[in-house]
Amino acid sequence: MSTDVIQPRPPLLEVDEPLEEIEGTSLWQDAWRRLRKNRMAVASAGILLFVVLFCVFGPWFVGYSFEEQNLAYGAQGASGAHWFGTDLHGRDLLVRTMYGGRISLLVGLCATAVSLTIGVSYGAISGYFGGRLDSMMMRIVDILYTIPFMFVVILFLVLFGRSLVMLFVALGAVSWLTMARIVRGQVLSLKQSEFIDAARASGVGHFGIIFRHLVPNALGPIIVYTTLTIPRVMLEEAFLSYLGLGVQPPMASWGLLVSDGANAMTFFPHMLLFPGAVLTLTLFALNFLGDGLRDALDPRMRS
Amino acid sequence: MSELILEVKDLHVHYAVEGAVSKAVDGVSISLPKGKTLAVVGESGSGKSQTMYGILGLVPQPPGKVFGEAALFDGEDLLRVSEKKLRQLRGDRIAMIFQDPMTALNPFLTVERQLTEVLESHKGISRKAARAEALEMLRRVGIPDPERRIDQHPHQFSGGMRQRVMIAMALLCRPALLVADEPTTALDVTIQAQILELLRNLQTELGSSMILITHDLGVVAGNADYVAVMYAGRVVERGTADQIFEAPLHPYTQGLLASVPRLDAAQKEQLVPIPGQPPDPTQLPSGCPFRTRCSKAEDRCAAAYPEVRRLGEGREVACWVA
Repeated sequence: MSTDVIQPRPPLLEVDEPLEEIEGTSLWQDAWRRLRKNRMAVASAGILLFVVLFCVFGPWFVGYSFEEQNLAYGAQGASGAHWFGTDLHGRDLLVRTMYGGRISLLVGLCATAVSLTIGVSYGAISGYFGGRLDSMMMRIVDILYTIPFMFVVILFLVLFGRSLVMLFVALGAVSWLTMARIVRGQVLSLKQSEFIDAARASGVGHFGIIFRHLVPNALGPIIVYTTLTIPRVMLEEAFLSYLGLGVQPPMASWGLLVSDGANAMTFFPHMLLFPGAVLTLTLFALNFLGDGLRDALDPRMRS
Repeated sequence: MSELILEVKDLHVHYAVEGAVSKAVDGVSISLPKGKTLAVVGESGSGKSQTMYGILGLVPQPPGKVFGEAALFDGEDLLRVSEKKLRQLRGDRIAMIFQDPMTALNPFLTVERQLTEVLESHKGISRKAARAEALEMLRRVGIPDPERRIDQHPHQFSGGMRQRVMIAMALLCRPALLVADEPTTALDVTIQAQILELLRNLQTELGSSMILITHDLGVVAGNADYVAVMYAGRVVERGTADQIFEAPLHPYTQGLLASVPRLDAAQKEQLVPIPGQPPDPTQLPSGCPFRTRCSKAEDRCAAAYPEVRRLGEGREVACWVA
């Protein structure tokens, strides 16, 4: 038995430069290194981290509670005592923005989790198996689409009682539909690729093909759409709360604060300005981070 | 004749295309003795690859449809085993090398993951042991510095190196049958020679049988023991490589040989192309599908498909005139 195989020729030119750039690493290490080079993404991640800490731990350092009213005081602009000013009931806006952030960030997180787990799996399975199963699964999505979102939410809240948990469930239940369609579309075209044939020819099972081969290749659109989902559900939550179906006063969410602020902006612009600025900052940071992640996770983007 | 590793009898692969039926493979019979190499030769669209896809259960059904008398692999009929069993065979006992190494590797997975995945699917060994085996196989296919290269992504490899990775992937489980689907078509000529030599060496080393799908008769010469020439979904001529090269019987085989440059030919000798195009597989002409391009066609060629004439052990031709 001969073991000699033809050896490729040695490279004509030895490069002195250390080859650190092509040192092998896992996809995640690799992505992390590339993400760190993207200044906008790093700054955005920093801002998001700050906003999260601000919302989670901030209230401990402010000497007011979110429900403490001072009706005589009324709405006041920013001052040394109230950095963000106060609202119409004399409540401290800084601490209300922090509490509102907890709800809004949780809503965003929850919708993202649902749309990433259910939406991605559902779409990938539907697209991969195709045929009758695909038609059936997609018709279900179509049907869910046609049911008005508000109707579903009201139904949920009436059937199961009004609570914050139900709000998350209701928002989660609709947030995965578009994701499922997007992923299905990606998978439909990706499954024609030769590397999928190659994986099948080497006996990889359905599960491995879907979650190791197809889904990672669809990560770009998935991440982009996720960064679009988060602001959308935050606004939907605001809408629900505005109708009295979501978060109830004296609790707050960013959406609620912004809509209150919009009503009062003629006389008290600070009520719109401060919560609005925090919300906008967060959404911008999410978008830039999403873009950065998309580029970092694609191994072909490496220059 | 020695024991057969693969014996395909009357295989059909049909596709439903907008109401019509496209007969990609229309009654193919081939056989391959253990340890030997069979070259399946034909133009693009002649059904070479589809024959293999059909046997391996890689034809999407629907719109595809695979049926036939039998496809015996080591005594087991691949057309009738369960899908699960077929999946266990693929990659383990029958492996495939694809035409284009640029697209046949997943751009998102490191070489290690693509290789260990195959081992995990079939051998159920630990990731660490799988990595060691993958490294060993990369070394065997001639990838320099495999310890570093194994953690890289496919886009960091050149075309020839990627094809070596594909070969390593196919040979990991030491398959009894290796299907190489135009393994050198996407590579330049010097790399082609290297890859073919590598395949030949590894085949002898592992004792595998090989089906070499190609449209390049130059690749067939010197690499194959047997040749099956396909046209419009059928095998038109079968024989040993020597018989096909020295005494081709079917006008199509003769035409293919006349259109290949030869080193031993006189300088001024012109290459003779085969006129026309292969027929649309949804609208095959009556009788012999090659008759529209055949210089020797007679009236009876249009009447019926020529009977397959057996001229000896493994020597067959399907032509009225030859």
